[in-house]
Amino acid sequence: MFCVAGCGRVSRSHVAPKYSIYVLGKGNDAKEYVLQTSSLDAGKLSPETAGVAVNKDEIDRELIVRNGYYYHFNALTDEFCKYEIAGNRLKPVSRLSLPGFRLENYEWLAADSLLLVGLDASSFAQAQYVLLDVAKMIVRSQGSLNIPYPREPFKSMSLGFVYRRNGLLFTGYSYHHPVGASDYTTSDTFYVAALGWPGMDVRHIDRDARSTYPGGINTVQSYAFTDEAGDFYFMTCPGIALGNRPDLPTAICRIKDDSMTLDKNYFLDLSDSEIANHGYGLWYLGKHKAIVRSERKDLFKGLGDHWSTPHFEFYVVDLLSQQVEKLALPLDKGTRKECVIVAGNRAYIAVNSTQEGNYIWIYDADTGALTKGLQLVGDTDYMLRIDVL
Amino acid sequence: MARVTQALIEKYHRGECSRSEQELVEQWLLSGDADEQLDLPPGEDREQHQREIWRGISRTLPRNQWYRRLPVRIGKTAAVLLTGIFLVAIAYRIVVTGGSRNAAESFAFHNKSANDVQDLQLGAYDITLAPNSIGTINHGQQSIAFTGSILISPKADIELTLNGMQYTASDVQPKHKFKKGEIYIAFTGPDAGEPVIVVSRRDLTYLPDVLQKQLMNQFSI
Repeated sequence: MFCVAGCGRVSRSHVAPKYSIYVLGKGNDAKEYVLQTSSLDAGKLSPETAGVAVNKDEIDRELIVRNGYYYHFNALTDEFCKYEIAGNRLKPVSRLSLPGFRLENYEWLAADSLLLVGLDASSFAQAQYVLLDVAKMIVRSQGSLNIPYPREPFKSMSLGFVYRRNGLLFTGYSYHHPVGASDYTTSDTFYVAALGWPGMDVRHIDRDARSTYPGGINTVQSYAFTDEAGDFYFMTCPGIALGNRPDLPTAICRIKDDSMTLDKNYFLDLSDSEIANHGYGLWYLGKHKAIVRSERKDLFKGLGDHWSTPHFEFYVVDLLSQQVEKLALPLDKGTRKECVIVAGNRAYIAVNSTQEGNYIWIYDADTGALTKGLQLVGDTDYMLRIDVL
Repeated sequence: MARVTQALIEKYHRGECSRSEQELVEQWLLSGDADEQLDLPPGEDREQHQREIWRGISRTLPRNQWYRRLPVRIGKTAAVLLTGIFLVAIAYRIVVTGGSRNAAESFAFHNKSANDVQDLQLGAYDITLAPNSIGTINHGQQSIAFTGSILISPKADIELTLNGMQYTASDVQPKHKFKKGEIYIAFTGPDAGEPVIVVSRRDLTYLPDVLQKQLMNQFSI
């Protein structure tokens, strides 16, 4: 409780929440919750008492979290909405309509300047952007990204990352076509376009057949970062639950700070490393090291149990030496989760273990030590995201 | 080997087929070769025959019912029309005649269209068949065995077991609960042995993004 001037003495201290946790509850008709906490280091929380249940008809885990606000695009209503926790619920603060747009990735350009990139809602074949002022919740500009449409046999595309550097906007993409009623495949090549910013004129397009499906959907999980030198790294994701081209390797690729082209001399092939599996998630630790979350193909059967079987491992990857080191964590479940926060020399890693429970683990990048931090109990089945508020 | 004839089809929709005749018709329907197995004398027009078959069947159906309109909705080509005949013929046996209990217990569906979905109204729930979806609904066992993808719209709270076409007894899945007013999508994976995946409209977010888009486009949701 806050004490205002003249209230005499401080009766109870209040520490502002620093972190947000999005929880999927248990059972067939599971509830979903948002919790806020001041620390991930220790303690025990139940979502049903410490959090607020979300209106599942309105939002889901595909969130952008910043400065205490939650931003969500609802594809059913075409509304982009800003929420805050108030009165024991996620309360809409303001909203705007983005008809015909489907969000794929976002990039903060400044404190209140949010760039959304996505596709047209009818065919998923035309790349588009929307630049928002989220303080005023208005559209600053919007239009098309002039990158090639899918050509036969491809019907649709994915934009896997967006990254702005000075007067350039980079985006990675690939193309898809359906295979039967309920399956699809992805082009055997991925593309990286460098566009002029804000003119959106195409300056350069790289084609690379070493892997496919660059990045993913970053409202769900992170797949890219910029290091201290300004070099941009992203992970390709051809596993069955993303690009669905498991014959191609998961790899980390790079665009160097002084270049507008893909670094053709750099290709960290994770599938050909000790990991020997496909990756789902990439987070930067600092000092040329990153955390990779990867599946275990020997433990799941297919798409039907990929999300429910605990089979995900975490590795620390040295981006320069290309050495990988497995972290001694229990197997995690949940196909795609935003489950890593890096703060200083520490990484907080949310793991849903069937055997050991739901913990935020603390990895000390200096010593390599792993310890258990905050535990989630009660109606917790999956921690779908952890965010800094 | 016995052949599927117009007489047999009419017998099938009247619910008068023997077990072996019923299996023959359903096998023929599910084989995907129905068009090719319609044997015609040289020079005979296939579409004309198909229209006549349909007229023959439609004369036996009551007027102003949804299944009379079904072939119009789904039938742009002769091939699709023929498929529609069988959907109607089979649905008729369930919905109208009631038939014997055995006859009403199961029926087969096959949406041969490459582009269009097809709708079936089944009392407690409606289903929409994605292109190239094929399967059998067993009302007695409250189960659907299929390949492809289907959209289920319950009009009451129901329970159904959903299996892939190639399932074996050991693969049988537990019953899923479907809530009135919600929309569900069920689909089979590329491998025959994989279990059916069922998600509510709202939980599409947990599927691969490309598949989400494909299903949303397919069912216009």
